[in-house]
Amino acid sequence: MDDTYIDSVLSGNIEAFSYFIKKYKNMAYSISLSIVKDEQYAEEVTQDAFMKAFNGLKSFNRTAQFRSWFYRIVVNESFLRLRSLKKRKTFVYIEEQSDAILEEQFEEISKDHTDKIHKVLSLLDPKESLALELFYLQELSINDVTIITGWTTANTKVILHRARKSVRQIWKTSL
Amino acid sequence: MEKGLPEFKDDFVTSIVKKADRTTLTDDFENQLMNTIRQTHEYKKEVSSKLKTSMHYFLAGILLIGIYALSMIIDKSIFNRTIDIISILILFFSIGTGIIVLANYKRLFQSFQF
Repeated sequence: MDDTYIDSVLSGNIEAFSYFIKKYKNMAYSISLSIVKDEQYAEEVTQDAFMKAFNGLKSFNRTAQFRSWFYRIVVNESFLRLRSLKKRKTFVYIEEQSDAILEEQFEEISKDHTDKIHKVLSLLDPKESLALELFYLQELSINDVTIITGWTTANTKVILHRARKSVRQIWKTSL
Repeated sequence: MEKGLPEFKDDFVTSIVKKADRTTLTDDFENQLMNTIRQTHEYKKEVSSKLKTSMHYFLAGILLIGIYALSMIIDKSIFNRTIDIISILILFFSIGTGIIVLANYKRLFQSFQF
């Protein structure tokens, strides 16, 4: 199905690209949000990723899935944004925060579980939350995760293992 | 779900990740993005057409210079006169410049082509 729309876009029907936006916007946004952890930035990154995909569509290798190729762009764009945010120091990366601040944040966690879940995920390392997002939410295989992230299989497994451990740890601490 | 990896089966983490009710993007996002794409596409088309015109003018100019230099060389060699170095230099310069500029045009076309 994706191939038909790719052909259509490449033949000059740019309106056909809205199919990809409709289909992948929420997943792309979700992936980006798991990395940059800010709704506004995630939206910007998603937009940038779509623009990159549109501009680079002719270089897309049909042997891979469009989904994997596009998610790879989203992941790369998100980490690029994260790096630039860190450089500008407008983004307080959670690892740099002191334990005292973390404790304060835990106190702020509402008793409502949804809020707590959001807080737990926002406290995770970007790589770990990305791994959880792709593996448990998008239900992708380890192989797909490696294609999208560029990590090795062993590294992906390690990150997933660490992510699960971190979720439990943060959840317990926040109780 | 864990694609044959029972060691990664984790109901607790799965439920946490799935319960994280994330805001989804609105239709407004889609419309805005499609507008940007349309604008980019139009811009690229415009730049491509201007590049084509510019390349045609350049080719005509460089070809004229080349033909002039070549005719000077041929003319002088027919009448057994000494071929002056300037004509040869002009010819080589026009060929060299032509190759370099055309390579740049090619690069520009590729970046503005869809």
